[in-house]
Amino acid sequence: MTDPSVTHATIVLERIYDASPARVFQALADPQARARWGVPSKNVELVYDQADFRVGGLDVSRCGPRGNLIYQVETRYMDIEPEQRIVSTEVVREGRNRLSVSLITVELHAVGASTRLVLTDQIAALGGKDMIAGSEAGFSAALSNLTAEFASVTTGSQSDASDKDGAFVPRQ
Amino acid sequence: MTQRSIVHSTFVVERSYPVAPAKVFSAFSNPDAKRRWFVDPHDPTPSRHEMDFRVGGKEVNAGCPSDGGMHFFNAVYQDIVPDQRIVYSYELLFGETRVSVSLATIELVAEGGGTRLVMTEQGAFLDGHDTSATREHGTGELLDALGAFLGAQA
Repeated sequence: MTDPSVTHATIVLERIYDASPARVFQALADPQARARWGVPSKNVELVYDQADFRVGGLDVSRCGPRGNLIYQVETRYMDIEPEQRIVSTEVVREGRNRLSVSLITVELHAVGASTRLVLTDQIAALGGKDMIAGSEAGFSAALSNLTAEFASVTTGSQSDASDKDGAFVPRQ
Repeated sequence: MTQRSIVHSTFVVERSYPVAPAKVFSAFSNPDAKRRWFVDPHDPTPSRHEMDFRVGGKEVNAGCPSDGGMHFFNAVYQDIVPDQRIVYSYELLFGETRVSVSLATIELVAEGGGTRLVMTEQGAFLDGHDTSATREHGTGELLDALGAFLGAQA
């Protein structure tokens, strides 16, 4: 029997990146980049089965402990303003069990030569409060990883290609 | 480049109805029933209403209220537990302008012989085209219309 209770929360995370809004937006839009920085830790794997970054487009990914990708995530893009904002809905499932539904906005603001990013996750947790803490921890780690994304680009190398965390597996 | 803005909000609207949760649920799940009460009071005859009530299914409600522009309510059902819970996301468009994106949770709880409905709306209001207060007021009007519909059925 499904637990009918729902827990609602709003999670707000802010970061400053030493990169332009255009560069940050590109890292958000590119599924190969996202598969790198979106992994919260080395013990976690993230694989995109489908990526379609446009209004109405759907991303489908799987994540979980390495070798045991128990969570399915479907992200539907609702509104996109290049270099300024991305609005999406996200559903997290474990098998046939839906754990949470979120409305997620990411706003980018130029601050001098840097970018302030504000991520707001308005979440309806269907499987208990753990999903709220889990969602916040996951996004927080991913946004911290994003800092490294810009540091690596300034070297001009393609060292990311050998990074095993970059588990992007397109199935087109 | 136009400066964009987002205002986030959450509001909760509660109503009690003197009918069982199954009857309230049916008013949301049955397209013919929903059409009877889920209408803009300023535009009682929408030009288009389509709904596919299942997880992943869509609902479109298009109309042309008194201000003259077309309004579109485009929803996707995200989670359904019969007689207990409905979760859907929706966007509201005025013409081609996206006014808001919202996540709505409807919970139905048996209360005596009736039902307590709790509707939680988490919204992102875009570029100042609409406000949470206006949406909350409109949501309350819709849930009152649902009450009138359920009363007429009883």
